[in-house]
Amino acid sequence: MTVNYRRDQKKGFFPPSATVDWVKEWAVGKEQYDMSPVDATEHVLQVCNSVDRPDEDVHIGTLVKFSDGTLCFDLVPKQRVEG
Amino acid sequence: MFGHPMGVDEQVFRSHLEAGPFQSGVDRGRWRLLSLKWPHALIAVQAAERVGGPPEYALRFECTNYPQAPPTAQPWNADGDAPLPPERWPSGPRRVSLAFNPDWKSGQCLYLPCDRLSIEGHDAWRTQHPAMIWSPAGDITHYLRIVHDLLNSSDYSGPRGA
Repeated sequence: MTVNYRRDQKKGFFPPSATVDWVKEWAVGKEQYDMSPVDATEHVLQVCNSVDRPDEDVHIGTLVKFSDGTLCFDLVPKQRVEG
Repeated sequence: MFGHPMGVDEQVFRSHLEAGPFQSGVDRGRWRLLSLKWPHALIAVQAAERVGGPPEYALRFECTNYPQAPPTAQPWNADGDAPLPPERWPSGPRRVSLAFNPDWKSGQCLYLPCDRLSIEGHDAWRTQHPAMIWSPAGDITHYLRIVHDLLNSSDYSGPRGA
């Protein structure tokens, strides 16, 4: 499992039954990207090279596309809709 | 039985209401169907607790040609069966007040890329906000999730008039 944020990358190991919410909690936590609670709510996990932002209760095992079982997320800000 | 011949759009919509994604949201208290009188569906979306704020906001969806065409939705006063007065619309300093803008198209829709009325003339949104664009392969929970996220974000501060 890889979570990218800006130019940084964090790697962790999760069972297929882990939820997207679990991964996000880990990624924004003190040991990883150390986001404030407010910043954390303003970011979302997006599957790398896609626009897919799976719901927080989705099991990550359902998202794995590669035969080696790896999965990649980008931690992206929730943007304002303007223009 | 229904009092009118049911079109494909209504059939698909009703099947989506019974499907896992919508029912999962119901089970988790995120949203609930209040009424369905085609092409209008009244759905309440749970909101974070705020001083003077309601526990949920009702949205009146207009779903003609669903899911080929995106739905459009406006905040609704479920008790009075009328549009929600502007002072009771959700607000917030950043994202929420942009999406819930009663001055946009006279309050007929939300200012979101997934909304049928708002996407008109906003082709740039397709590249700027691809995750919020409606897909005919999706279902009503795509729109509901975006609204639920706004109403439970740190940006949501309660109704405009609170």
